[in-house]
Amino acid sequence: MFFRGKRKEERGKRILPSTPLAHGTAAERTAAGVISFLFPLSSFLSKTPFLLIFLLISCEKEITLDYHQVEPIYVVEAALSNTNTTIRISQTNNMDDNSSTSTVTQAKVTISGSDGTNLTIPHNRNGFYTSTLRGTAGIEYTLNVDLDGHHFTSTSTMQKAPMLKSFRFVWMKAASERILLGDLRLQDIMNEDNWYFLHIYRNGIGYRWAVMRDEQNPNKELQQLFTFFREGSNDSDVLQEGDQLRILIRAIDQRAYDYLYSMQLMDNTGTNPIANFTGGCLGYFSAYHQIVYNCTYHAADAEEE
Amino acid sequence: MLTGSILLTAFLAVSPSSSSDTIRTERLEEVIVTSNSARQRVMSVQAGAEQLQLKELTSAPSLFGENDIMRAIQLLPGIKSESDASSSFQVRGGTAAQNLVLFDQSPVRNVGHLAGLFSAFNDDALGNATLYKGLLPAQYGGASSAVLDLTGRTGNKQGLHGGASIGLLSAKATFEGPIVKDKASFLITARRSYMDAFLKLTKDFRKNTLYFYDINAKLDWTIGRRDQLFLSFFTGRDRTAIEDKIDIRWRNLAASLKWLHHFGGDSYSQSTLLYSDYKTDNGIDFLGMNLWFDGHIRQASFRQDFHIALDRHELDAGLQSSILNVKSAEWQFVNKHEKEQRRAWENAAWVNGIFQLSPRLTASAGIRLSMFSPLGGSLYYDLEDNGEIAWYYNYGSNQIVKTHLTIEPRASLNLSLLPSPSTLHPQPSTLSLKLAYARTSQNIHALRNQNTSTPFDRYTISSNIVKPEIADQVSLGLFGMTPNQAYDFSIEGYYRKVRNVLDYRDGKSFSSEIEIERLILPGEGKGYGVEFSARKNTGRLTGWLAYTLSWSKTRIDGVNQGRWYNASNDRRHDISIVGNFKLTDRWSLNAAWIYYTGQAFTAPSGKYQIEDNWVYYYAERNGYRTPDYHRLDVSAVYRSSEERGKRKEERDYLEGRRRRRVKTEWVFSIYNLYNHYNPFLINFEDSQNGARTKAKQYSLFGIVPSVSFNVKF
Repeated sequence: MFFRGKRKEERGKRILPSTPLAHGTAAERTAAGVISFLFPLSSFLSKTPFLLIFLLISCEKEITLDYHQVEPIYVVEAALSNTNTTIRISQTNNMDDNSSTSTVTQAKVTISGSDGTNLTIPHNRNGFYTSTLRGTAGIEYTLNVDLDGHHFTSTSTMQKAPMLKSFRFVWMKAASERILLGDLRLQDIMNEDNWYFLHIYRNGIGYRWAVMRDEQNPNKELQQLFTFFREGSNDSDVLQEGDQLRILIRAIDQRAYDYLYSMQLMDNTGTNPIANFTGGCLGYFSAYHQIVYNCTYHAADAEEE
Repeated sequence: MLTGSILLTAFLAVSPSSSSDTIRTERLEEVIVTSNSARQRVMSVQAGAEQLQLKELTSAPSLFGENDIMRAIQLLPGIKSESDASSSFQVRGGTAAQNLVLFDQSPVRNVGHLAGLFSAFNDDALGNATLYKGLLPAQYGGASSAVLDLTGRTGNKQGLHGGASIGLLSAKATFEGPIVKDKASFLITARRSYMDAFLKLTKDFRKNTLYFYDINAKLDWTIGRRDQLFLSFFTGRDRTAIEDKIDIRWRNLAASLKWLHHFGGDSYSQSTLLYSDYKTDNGIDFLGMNLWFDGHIRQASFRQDFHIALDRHELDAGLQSSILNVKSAEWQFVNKHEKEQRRAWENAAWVNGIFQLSPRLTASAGIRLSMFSPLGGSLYYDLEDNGEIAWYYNYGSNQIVKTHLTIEPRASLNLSLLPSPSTLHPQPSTLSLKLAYARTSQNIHALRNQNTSTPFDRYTISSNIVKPEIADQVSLGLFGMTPNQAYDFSIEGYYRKVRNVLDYRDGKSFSSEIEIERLILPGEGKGYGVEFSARKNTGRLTGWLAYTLSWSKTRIDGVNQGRWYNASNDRRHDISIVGNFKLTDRWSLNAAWIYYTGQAFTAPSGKYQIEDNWVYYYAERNGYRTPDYHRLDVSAVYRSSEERGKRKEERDYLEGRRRRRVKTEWVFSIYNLYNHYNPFLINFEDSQNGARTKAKQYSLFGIVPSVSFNVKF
């Protein structure tokens, strides 16, 4: 009866946020986080924050839901980084729509900055609006999108460069299970409040992500644990020898953090993320400084706890 | 505590005549239990109140072979379980967090062990239980939904008795007897799970911890003819730990000291000192990550009750004063340490009368004044519309921040439509019409992400921002029984409206902020429905059918675009059928079938991409329903022959022999006989390209057979 359902192959599973261990405050980490941490179905597990209950799950089955049809909503995902500017505009799909993301090409997109920057970002292709505009730390940028009579606005402040200290693979033993973790440590940016977004791609496909803030240990080392997979598992989450991991580390502002953190909780709360734009669209705008760390997974490199 | 006192009074009244005769005492006990059944339901003036027959309730089939009052309550009309895994109950659209559970007048929170699989109460410790479905007499307060008033059993004053029981997951033992014969007695009963003993035997799990235990102790001392003292103590603890990495603990403690004084006639006073402490303590420690959080609700109170019995009328009056200390959570993480802890002074005064206005018309009317004053010593603040803190207030320790005064009228009317019992027809058919109204309030607010109570629930008190939750309920019902109480039935409709209910702001979870008031928004709720029940009380086959048709809705500005939405506990139809068949003197068979409409839950209505992830778009709260829930539980009980045992005991008694009678009982039960997997959780999964969204249902229990063995002497 124990975890019978969980052991199945889950090919093509939606990419889930990583363990919430580094989100929000400590209680999240101890409740939902602990359980997500132990068993890498974080979205599912975070819904019922009690370990014992999971041990009692005896059956899982697919059910049919008659999804309600709703009018599509615009989605704006805007990034102004230390290298360029990319804005992607799309619309929501219905639940039973299996086509790829719809693209929006007719929007007028402008960015202004507290340093006097004022720029129109042209549509490039497939709903992506791009520019070589780079952010400058400390500058507040405002994004305006005019689209079919709608006006969407958001602001974001560019951050300083984050600093990676270390990344390693670690086996953690818990009861009869061994779980492979990614242990990522940052050096906090000194003397200011900071927020971080961490995203791991595996062979070019999103694999795990997390957000954290520096309140846990300001000005010192910050730690983020990622749950990768359970030893013996055969689902698509298991890292294979030679897999390429690309880790994006971004210093983001509080508004972007609030959006991503509430997005992290969505499966638990059943609500949309906290609105980042005015005007009624989904998505968020983030001015960030990003560094990238690449590594290759070799099972032999994984350390024992 | 009125009903408890009445029962105790009954015991006091019979004790002189019963002298040292344990047989007769036991028989009297049974008579009392029977006479409180159908007659009580039909004749009592209080609508929506049910004096629970513990024997009948605990004979319903049980999970893991453990008699459980809380799960049995879930079979009554108008009562719903939270989930398969929960021993908490929901009444008339209220949530479990809006109920108050009292054990010997001390509040007990989070009334479950092992995440709710077992209730916190060992049935061997229970003497009397009354459930008020929101229509409370003025003596009760502090709950915007139901009150479950449990009275601990007192020990036997004549001789030593005891018992033991071993079930699939836990074992328990009870011991009771006189300290001073006919004057003072003790009762102690303890229960503990024993799964951890097996964990220790396994290589992989031996460093893990998983247990619960509870202890009930009660002393009573009859001082002279008019006075009696009761000292009651209850504690329950739970612990789940994975090696030294994760530790989840919580505990309940409830204690009370009560002095009962009889003025003569049926009038009495009760003075009670009580203390209650609920505490959770949870942490993890691995790979250099060390974090901990804990919280508590502590309450110390003095309560004074007066009960005056006049010729045909009764009057209850009293007051209660409490100091509360609520720590929502204290979090420690590396260098960070945060806590929110607040104190309050709560006072209540009440008067409630029961008036027999005519042979056919009885009325109960009362009023309760509830005063709740949060105290300074910790920070209070004002909030912006978006939940950010606008202003801090730093009140001095014990300085009153604000006083919330709630005036709570209560009324209930019973009009008998058929003749009352007479000497010629002591048990005729009876039909009563009951009309009731009550306003109740609650000042301790629980916040939970899911429907199920867990040790991770956060609590806050009414403050300068949070107002008391105030519920108004009106009900109208028809109650009838056939001659000799063979059958009884009821149909009761209710409408309930609640102000200042709390729910999470969109995008917030229980740990998004330390200041709990930043997570929540206030709104309103309403619930209405009809409850129908029919019971067969005599013969070899007894049992009941309960059906509830109900609606429960919530509206909060800032949630679901400010529109009304189905509450998470909204279930349209709810049916329980419970049967008990006495096959032979030794064997009895029990069955219970439960059905309810799937409950409301939130499912996405669209999807989109953010950061290369597919994310769901939620257009409405609780706009979907889970599949329907149903299951059949059965049990067979084998008892050492009761009739033969009683005959032998009577013979021994008449012949002056004092031989102790030992009763044994085997209980074989099967939970969810036809192995129907009921929804516990619905989750959504997508492929990487956003296609083929699948809704997956996760279930807890399939078929669960169990056996338990009980012995009593």
